[in-house]
Amino acid sequence: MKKINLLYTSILFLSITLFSVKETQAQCDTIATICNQNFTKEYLSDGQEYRALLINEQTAEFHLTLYGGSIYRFGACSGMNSGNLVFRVYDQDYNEIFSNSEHELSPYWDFKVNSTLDVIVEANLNQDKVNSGCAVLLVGFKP
Amino acid sequence: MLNKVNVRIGLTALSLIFAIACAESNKNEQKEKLPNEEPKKVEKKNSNLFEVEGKVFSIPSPIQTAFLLKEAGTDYRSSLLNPTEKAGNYATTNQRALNLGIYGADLGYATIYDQSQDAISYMAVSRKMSSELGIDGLFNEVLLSRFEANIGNQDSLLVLVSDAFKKADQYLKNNEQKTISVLILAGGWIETLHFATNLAKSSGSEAIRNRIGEQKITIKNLINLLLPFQDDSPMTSNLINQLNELKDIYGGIEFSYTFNPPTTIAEEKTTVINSVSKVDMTDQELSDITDKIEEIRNNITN
Repeated sequence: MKKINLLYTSILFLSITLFSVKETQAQCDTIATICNQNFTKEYLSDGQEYRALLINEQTAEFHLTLYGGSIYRFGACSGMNSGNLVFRVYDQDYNEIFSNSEHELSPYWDFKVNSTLDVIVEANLNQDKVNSGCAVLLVGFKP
Repeated sequence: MLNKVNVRIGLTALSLIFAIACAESNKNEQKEKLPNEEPKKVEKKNSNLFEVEGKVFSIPSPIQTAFLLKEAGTDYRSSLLNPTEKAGNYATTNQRALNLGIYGADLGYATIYDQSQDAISYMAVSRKMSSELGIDGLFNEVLLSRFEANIGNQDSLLVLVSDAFKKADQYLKNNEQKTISVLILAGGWIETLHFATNLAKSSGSEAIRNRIGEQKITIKNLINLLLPFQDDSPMTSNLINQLNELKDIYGGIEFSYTFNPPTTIAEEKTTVINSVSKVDMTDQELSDITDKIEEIRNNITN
């Protein structure tokens, strides 16, 4: 009887966890679709999509190479509305290049790159609006 | 006693569900404008950092370098592409993933040079490879038809190709197949460097030469992406070893970087990054990189 109860509980736990993971993925899919609307047809995707589940003050960070002579668009979104995600761009030495906190938390921004460099993008939730959520970062470039 | 244990497990499960499902929970407080901050240099933070999907490194799109090759005035060379007939030789998941990346870069290259027939062939072989990897729902008949219908419209074709690879990347990550996703990126990067090194000498283009040298940054990111999967298969660990040898060659190349304050044009939502970088690469280093990338590529495609 005990074994049956334990088995039942384990299955229930696993099912609920799997459901929650799928639910979170679905939520991220929706946010990615919304975020993608910031990219007009003149921007080509870099072929990747970056997602993170953030809670409270957690920071998502990713590194990428920007080629000289290119124009990039970064889209950074969380939730169904804009203004939920703060994102900052630094160079390899952590010199700040951009922060959307100075621009009404714009969900996208363009970067005209003169010379190739490595940048670090950090993103965290605007805690005035949200405590937790899926953060999506998209990168496009102008051919 | 058992009931108490069940309740405890139940509460743990509920807590977990709450932590995940409360994503997007909104506070009712009015949004306040964040204070403006002066551009600054910050100390690198190590604490409280959440890495994106456990991997924090990104690889540039192969399409960007293919554009550079065309802008540099190089002619289309179909001999540089991996023949589609070889697709049937790739039997393992890792081989298929790496070669899907290679075929994807070939597809982008052919598309940028308006080589319709080759582009259709490489779209078809990408579909075959992705089907064998279990991601056929993305590279499906509809996509192939849309691709064929847009032949002649390069912009639309490139959007279709980029979006297909982005969706595949997300599908694989969602389904815990991150190794495949990373190997596709690796294949694309290797094929692009193969194009560039083969065209650098014949074209004499400084832009292509610089792009090859700039991969000194990207190869570190690529190895960092692959490292978590080094024990997955001998092929993956061998690939990492070979890339490390290539990285050693890159070690001799000078890549200098100088920070200059950026210029932001708020009304255009644009920031101009004024920092300057410079690559200094000898002919011998270029030759060594060319040889090494050929060796790596041959191990994947043959």
